[in-house]
Amino acid sequence: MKRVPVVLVLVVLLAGLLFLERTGDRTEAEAATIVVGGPQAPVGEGERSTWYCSAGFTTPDASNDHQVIVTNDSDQVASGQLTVFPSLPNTLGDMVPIERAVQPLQVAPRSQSVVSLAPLVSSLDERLQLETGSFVAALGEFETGGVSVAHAIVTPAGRDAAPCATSASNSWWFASGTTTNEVQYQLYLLNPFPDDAVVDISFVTDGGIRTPSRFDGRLIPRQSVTMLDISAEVPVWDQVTTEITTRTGRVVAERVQLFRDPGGPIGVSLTPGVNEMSEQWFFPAGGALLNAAESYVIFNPTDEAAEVEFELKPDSADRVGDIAPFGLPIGANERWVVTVSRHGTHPVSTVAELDATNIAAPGERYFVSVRSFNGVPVVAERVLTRPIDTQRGVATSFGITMASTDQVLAVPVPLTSTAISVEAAAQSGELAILNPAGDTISRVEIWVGRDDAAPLMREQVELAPRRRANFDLATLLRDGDRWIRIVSSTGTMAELVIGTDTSIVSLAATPSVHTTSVPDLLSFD
Amino acid sequence: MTASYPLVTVTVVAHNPGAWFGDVLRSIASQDYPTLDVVVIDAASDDSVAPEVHEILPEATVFPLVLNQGFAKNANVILDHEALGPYLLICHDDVALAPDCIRRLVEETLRSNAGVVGPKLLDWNDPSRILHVGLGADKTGLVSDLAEPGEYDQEQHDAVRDVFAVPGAVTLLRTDLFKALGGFDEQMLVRGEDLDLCWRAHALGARVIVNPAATARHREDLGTRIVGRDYDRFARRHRIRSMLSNYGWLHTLRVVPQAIAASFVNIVVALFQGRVALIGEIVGCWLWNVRRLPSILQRRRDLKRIRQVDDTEVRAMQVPGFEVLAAWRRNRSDRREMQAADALVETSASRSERAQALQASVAVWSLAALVLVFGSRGLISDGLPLINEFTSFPDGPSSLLTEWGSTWRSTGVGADAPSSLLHMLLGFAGVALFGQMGLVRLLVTLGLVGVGVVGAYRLLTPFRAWQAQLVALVVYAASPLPYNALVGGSWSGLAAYAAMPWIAKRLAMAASIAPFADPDPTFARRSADTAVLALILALAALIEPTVVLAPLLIALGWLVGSLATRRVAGTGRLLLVALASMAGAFVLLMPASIGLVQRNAVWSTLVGAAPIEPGEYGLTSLARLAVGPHGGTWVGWLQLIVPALAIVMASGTRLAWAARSWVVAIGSLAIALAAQQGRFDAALPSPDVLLAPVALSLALAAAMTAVAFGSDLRRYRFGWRQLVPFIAVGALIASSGAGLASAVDGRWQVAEAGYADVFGFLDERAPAHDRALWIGDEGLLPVEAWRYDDELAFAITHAHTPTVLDATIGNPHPVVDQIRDDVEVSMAGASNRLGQTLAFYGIRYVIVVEANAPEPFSTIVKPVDPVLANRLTEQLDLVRLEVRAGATVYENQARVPIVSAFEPGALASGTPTMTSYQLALDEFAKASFRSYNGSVVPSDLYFAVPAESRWSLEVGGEIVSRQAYDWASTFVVDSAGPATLQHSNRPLYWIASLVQLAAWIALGAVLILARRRRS
Repeated sequence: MKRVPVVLVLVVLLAGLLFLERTGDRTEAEAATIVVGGPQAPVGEGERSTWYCSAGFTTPDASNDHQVIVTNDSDQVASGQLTVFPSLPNTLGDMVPIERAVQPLQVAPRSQSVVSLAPLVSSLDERLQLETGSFVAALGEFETGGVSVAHAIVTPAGRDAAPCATSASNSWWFASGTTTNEVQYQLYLLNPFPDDAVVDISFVTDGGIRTPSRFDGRLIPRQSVTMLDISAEVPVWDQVTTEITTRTGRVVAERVQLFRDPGGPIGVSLTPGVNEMSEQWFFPAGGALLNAAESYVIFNPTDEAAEVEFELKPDSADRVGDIAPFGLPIGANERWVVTVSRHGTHPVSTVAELDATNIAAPGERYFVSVRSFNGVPVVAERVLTRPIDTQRGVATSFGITMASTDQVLAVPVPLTSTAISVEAAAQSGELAILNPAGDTISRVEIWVGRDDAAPLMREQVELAPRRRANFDLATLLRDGDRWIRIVSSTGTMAELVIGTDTSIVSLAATPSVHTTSVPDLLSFD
Repeated sequence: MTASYPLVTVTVVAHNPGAWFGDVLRSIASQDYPTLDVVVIDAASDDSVAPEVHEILPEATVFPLVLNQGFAKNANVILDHEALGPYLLICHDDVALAPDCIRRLVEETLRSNAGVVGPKLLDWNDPSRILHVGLGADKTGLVSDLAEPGEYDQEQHDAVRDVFAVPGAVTLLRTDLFKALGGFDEQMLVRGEDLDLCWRAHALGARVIVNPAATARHREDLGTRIVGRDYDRFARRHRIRSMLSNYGWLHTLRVVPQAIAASFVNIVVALFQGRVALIGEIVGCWLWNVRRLPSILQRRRDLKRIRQVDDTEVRAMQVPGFEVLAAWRRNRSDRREMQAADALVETSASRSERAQALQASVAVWSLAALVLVFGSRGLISDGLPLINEFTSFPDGPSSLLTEWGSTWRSTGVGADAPSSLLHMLLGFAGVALFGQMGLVRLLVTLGLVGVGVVGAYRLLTPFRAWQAQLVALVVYAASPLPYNALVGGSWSGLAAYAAMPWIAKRLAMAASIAPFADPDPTFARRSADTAVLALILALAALIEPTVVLAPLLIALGWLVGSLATRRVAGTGRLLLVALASMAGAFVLLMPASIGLVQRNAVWSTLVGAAPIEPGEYGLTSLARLAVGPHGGTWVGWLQLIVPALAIVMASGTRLAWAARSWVVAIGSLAIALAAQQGRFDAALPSPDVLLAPVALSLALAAAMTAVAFGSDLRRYRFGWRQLVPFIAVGALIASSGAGLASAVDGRWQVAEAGYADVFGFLDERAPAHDRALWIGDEGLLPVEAWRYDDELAFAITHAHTPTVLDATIGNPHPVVDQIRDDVEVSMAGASNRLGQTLAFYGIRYVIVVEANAPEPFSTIVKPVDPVLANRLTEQLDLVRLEVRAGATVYENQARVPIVSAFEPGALASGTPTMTSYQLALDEFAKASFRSYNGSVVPSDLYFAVPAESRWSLEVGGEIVSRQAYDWASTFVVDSAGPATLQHSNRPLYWIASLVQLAAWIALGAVLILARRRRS
């Protein structure tokens, strides 16, 4: 009988051990949250930041220029340095890196500084003074927070601006791209790191996947920028999807497209690549420009088929009801194009195209969401063009995957400094802010900053769940305004679209604080 | 007739002889040798010996001396005698010669053409026992008797033979030889003069023989009457003098270092035996000879002048190897023989049992040793790879001893911190093994397994059941735990495995739990056991600090087990003993242990930097001790069968111990499981450490099954229980495969190569002042690390292949925390200039370790978070170097050597540029890391790392005020002049060191007292 207490004690202890094991299993079963990132990671207050502005072309006469726009929204001087990476093409078309140059940079509190690289570059080396020009990338590093960096390219064919990237990657995608005649597709790969990088580039065309040997194991020398002329290697397609992967090292990829066809769209587009796929993409500023053709290119880079839903939600949905979303089965490494509006020369694929030109009334404003329902991430890009017979301009931009409570947008100063004023630009421009959440109202304040002045709150609005607000730049902006800051109680997404006679600029806001992840965005169901 | 017998001058050196002296003189008078001239040298006896001499030997001459200056000098007086015969017989005043002794000695001298002849010396009181039949000596002059002292004389040694020396009690030698040698060495008062004389006689080519046909009885008390208690000390110092005097230079250079090393070993052994006086004696003997170096050199010159025989021939006469080792072996065998003699009184039944036990023990031990050696053959032949904690050892012991002797820790960013005794122990082990540090490393690693196995066997000794001891041995040796620790490169796991049985035994002894209770338990005895337990904990904690907590864990488990079986006698003391031993270990390890209770103490210093997040092992793995490649199959479950049988088979004390064991096992499993599930906010030690009590408990419970078979099974009626032994034996044999199956592999699946080759370039490329930052899983990093986040650990070392000097890192210096913060900032994406940040700290390499060994040898791979890996590749000033996969090495392009000069104002602005350059190293080498003397120039900045208040700078005798510059102390000099920069130790460390010294002395005293009481 003396054995009984022993057995009882041991049984109790063993039971406790088993209980521990079982409860532990449940603990481990909790799934980790997926957090999205991207080329523009949020930059917190008081932290240092690095910005990669990969694509740019300069000539000594500055008719082609690469401008770096540094917006300092903080109360302190932003000090840092700008490293310029020039390259020249040799007779074979390969890039020859020129010694990089470093220039200290200081931006006063609450002000914006535009650094024009053309004169800077031509002063670096005799070889860079050739009229043929040089390809130039820039790297901005700042010791203080509150800085956002965008860049713009200026060409005789037009101009465009885009935020600079904050991270490099070993994978990059461009869902759209055009290599038809008179369209030059330039791919810029910046390798600012001290190691060489080797990349493989493949293309998805209507004729299948192309892997030009010239881009197979392509060396991107360290601390240099390389421009690859895709038009020459992958002719001649209305839509070319580009996938870049590195074997070693990491790069920053950007695309410049020069549309020069006298009979088609004319303009220039500057587009940063995306380096992360996502199950959800938002385009807040749908239908912003009248007479512009608008299509969405959705690419599935994975090896699994994606069940994608394309939804266009017009501002009039409250009155006339929602538009049923389209289901798109996108196979592995396949691409679909959804055209919402078109004109005769809009570059649209003839294969795997969904014609949705009749779902939104002319002049209707809306936002677009692209969602993958089976967990297979995709990338989605919007293409805007205007026919030559009305106004010119081309713009391509990726959707937004990240909502933020604090976002900054640089007003594209090149437009104000050369061709038109802000007010003029504002005649055909608007700022769209989307509350992507399914069940939360967001209070939004729009602040506008100008040099050496305290920011002013110009607008304040409450956004219902899954609703967007549209602000006409004509009423929002004044001459001298340099940047827009959107502060919201919950994560929102902001996008600026400006159309002038010669250009279209589509610019997503740069988040200062990263608040919302993909699962949260999906929760509105 | 008499003309054919050469005259023998008999020289008796007398000093206060006793009543026996008449017998001595009468034995001389009764010699059958016809031509004797007797001379008695009276060495200042209190009462003159002349009357007694003249009464028995009327023709004898008595030389009275005013002073007694020792036997050698007294005997040399005979050289002044005018009528010396061709032969001298020099003897003590306590020997009685057999009537034919001198004749036989002289005859043998003539027959063998010998220079020195000695008789067989017999016991004065019992002539049937032999005292000496000549002497042997090893290379260091340590003598050994050619017959065992006290041996019965059965004529077994009665052959004339050459010997290295004859005892000085009775020595016949040629007078011309004695004169040529200058007599005895007069610096040798007594002891060793006979060896020295014979050694030099050999050098002259004279034979030294013993003629056992000649005998003499000897009282052996002259030496003690002359020098008293210093007898052994004289022997030791004279032996060294002979060694230094009598070898040529070549052999001196060969032998003397060996003798010094042997003395070191002797000191270490004495240290552990608590024989402090002996340590002083050994050192004193060497110093005595150093002081007499001129006379030694003179004797060397004298011998060289007359030397006829090369040292090689002389050494051929010596005993090979070290006599001290041979003597130790002889003593061990004597002890066994004495035990065997005691066993003669046993009954025939017990004799049979004993023989059976002996056979079984020899068989099992042999098999276990064979399997362990066979299973380790690859490690023995190829060496232990550099994986995880298995860091390399320095090339020689000096680095370890230097590290031990310093309070400057070079690991991290450098810190003023106490050293570890581990460095001292390894350093002395290196000295003992003649600097073969690789061998030390291998022996320490594999030896820990052996120590554990022996401990398991010894743990069961109080149960007086050899079967139980052997079962415990087999179960513990077959546990997968140590072999998984080997695979994981975990000295921590091996240390816990090795220490656990010894901890358990001493804990039980100190708490006097049956059957470990002493028959006559006293406070002193329990204190001694507690002290030994503290010593074991301290030694184990040198490798794995958390082992110190093991007694508490075991005590609690045993307490619950005791309550369940209602055998609570002694258990009340368990907690007390556990806490006392832990406190004792803490004091023994001071001042290093103080770091664990300081304000800046971090938990990872105690438990390591294991991940807090859930691990990979579930209950099924942990219960089979399968925390690695071993034990993961179904065979692993068989380990539990034999221990479990104790619960159903045992009763009484056996059941109590089985219950205690299982409670400890389940409790330890629960802790290990909870740690693996990430239930604790803080990290716990690695699973192989946490499971060591489980392995021990299984062995103990299995042993209880074995005891139960002998004690309890017979009390049950015939039934199923009678089948259990067969099941148990089968399970025992089968379960051995859990740990021992991979012995076939020859290296227990340990990676075939480690990181030594991969990181070898660091030793070639990086200056001594460059540092490396290591990041990775704590179980993979080849250095001891601090916690970086919930998953990763990090470490900072000098940029070299990690060595054991990088272990025992202590609490992180605030600068280390600062470095971690800087890394975190970059890893968060806020900065892409990590290299520039790290350059401030002299960090040249960032090394990310993701496998326990480089490809293709890695067996454990734990990739770091891809975000971290990506961030590192995005740094604009880190260049990735090509090394074998498993580790990723980035070189900092913005590096600034620790010893650097900068452009004026560069540092003041906080942005050092790449214009810095490294100073000439030999200039820096003149200064230590702790002080600098030299001239300074105004306006220069003088840095002292790390930043703490213990640095001071004096320029021209005036103290320069110290300023904090981020990671260093800064001094801005206003005037030129001679400067002294120095670092002073914390008073706390000095006090703690004194306390530690006192604790070790107290420990030694307690152990000595306990041993004396026991004996």
